[in-house]
Amino acid sequence: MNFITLAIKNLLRRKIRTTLTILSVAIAISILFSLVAFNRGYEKEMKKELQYLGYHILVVPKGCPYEAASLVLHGGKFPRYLKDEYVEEMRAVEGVKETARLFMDSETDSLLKETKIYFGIDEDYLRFKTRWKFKEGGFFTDDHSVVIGLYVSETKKLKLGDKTRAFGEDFTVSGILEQTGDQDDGFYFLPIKTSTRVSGKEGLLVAVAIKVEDLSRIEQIAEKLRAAETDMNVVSMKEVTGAIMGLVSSTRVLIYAVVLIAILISAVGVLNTILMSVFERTREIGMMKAVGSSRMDIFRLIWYETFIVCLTGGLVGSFLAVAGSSGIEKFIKKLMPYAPGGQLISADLLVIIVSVLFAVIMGILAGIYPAYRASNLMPIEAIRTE
Amino acid sequence: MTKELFTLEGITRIYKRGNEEIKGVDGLTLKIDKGEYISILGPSGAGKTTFLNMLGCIDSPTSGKLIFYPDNGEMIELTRMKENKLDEFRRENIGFVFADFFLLHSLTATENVELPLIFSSGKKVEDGYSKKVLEMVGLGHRLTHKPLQLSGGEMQRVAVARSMVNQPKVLLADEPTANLDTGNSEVIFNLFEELNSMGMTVVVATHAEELAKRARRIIFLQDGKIVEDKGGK
Ligand SMILES: Nc1ncnc2c1ncn2[C@@H]1O[C@H](COP(=O)(O)OP(=O)(O)OP(=O)(O)O)[C@@H](O)[C@H]1O
Ligand SMILES: [Mg+2]
Repeated sequence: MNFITLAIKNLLRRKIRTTLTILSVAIAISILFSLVAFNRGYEKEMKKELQYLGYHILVVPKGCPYEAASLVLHGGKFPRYLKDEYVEEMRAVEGVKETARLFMDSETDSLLKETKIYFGIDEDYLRFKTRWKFKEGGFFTDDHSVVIGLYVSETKKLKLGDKTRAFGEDFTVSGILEQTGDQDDGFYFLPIKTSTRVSGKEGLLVAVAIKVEDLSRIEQIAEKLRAAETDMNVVSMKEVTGAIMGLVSSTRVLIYAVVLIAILISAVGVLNTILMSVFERTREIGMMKAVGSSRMDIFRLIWYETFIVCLTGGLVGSFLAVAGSSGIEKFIKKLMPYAPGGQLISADLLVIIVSVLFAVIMGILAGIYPAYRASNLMPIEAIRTE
Repeated sequence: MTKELFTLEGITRIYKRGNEEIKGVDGLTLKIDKGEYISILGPSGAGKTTFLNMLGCIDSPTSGKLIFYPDNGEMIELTRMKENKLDEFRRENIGFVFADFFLLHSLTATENVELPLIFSSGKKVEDGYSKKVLEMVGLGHRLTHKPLQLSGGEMQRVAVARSMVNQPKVLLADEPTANLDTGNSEVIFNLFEELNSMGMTVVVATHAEELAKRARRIIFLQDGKIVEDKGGK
């Protein structure tokens, strides 16, 4: 027999109490685990998403860009446009590396109640979408070509060379994209010249995508662009992501606070349970002192007991969190103001280590006071106590 | 080699209860030799427990001097020792037995006996030593029993075995048979005799006068003072 087995045997004397205490630690740790795992996953996914976006600055007409986007998705028309000649001005701004004209329109089939979204682009856009791969075919071959996303190809049963009608004209599928995992999967891409013509907006654009030479100067470049024309909005992606991250971090602070409180409550619970068991065992501890245990021995024994409870709780909690991660992910996604696609809970070894470490630290701290109290029991008083 | 084990000089223990001062023991002066077998008798409240607690260093006197003579010929003034040293002293030299057996119910007889060994710097003893000690107290057939599966007499014998496992110099027993019937009390005192014949110094506080008379030396206490000390050399 050694210290650890004695500590375990002591804990097993009150099985229900010990189990409940371990469970309370496990719950707190599983919440912590999910949060840490979620944080890592979330940041990873956000970064990925921004990278896929491909552009650093988006120039749109004045007015709320979100409103415009929602108009398109629900089949309305853009209220305002950019003039095509602005693109040349933007190119001239120092630090701008690439530009791409973007046009967007939609057509709603009132019978099928579905909206097709058409994106007008030219070859410049390919330099932004470096991640794009063609599953079949390639880019536009003439001014009545259409490139479609994988989702479109699958749902509309469109194959290479098939014709599809848009705005009263026939377009031939010249390329099908591989899955991108974002909105591109559901879009039709048309040559921008044709697209603006069939929409009756020749010489107009919905947006201009811009890549800069040096990301660290993105704000200065955005400023220069703003100065160039007055009727456009220059949105740097840093601002967008900054805003999203800001929203997220305020939510996160709230969640952290909840987790911290959960951990604190369970730590106090552990402390209380162990302290109670110390008081119950006053006489027994007195006897141990009489048979030669030192203050330190008693301290260690009680400390180990706390430690074992918390460590077990940490392991059980991590296990629970891994087992329930998909449910927890759904729950957290609901809480978040903006959630990227992809798997948000990324439970790697580091997360497990962090969680278990937290439980261990909690055990170490919660054990100090009861262990101190126990080690300070005077043997005669302890033995006398009836 | 000295034959003395303990020297007590004016050992007094004052308990304070509010303004009232109670002398648990009052100016005890005596010597205890190695290998003695002593009974402490006296009415309730006479100071028997206090006396044993002083010897066993689980309580320290308010005044007076307590000296211990280990085998190496030195003398140790216990009344001037630090707490952690006293823990060590107790672990190495003292075996305690109480009226209540103080066994851990979750442990088997063997594990209960092993308990003092797991504490830090506990004496290194050969494997299976606790089993041997249990055999010596006549419980070789009860090694894996839990305390609640044992009779009172057997429980006390486990407690005696536990007090012996550290191979102490002195066995201090405070009313060891208070919770036992006559038969079992006999067994325990036989055990003490046996231990004493093997060289162990035994000091027993008891109300059982008949059994106390088996000791070679009998000390009567009253109001914390020695009123009679007979049979010693
Ligand atoms: N912790 C304490 N606080 C106050 N008084 C105490 C304390 N312990 C002992 N006493 C008093 O000291 C005196 C001696 O007590 P002690 O326990 O040594 O007697 P005893 O001879 O062992 O008695 P008994 O035969 O009943 O066990 C008693 O008057 C008792 O009331
Ligand atoms: Mg007593």
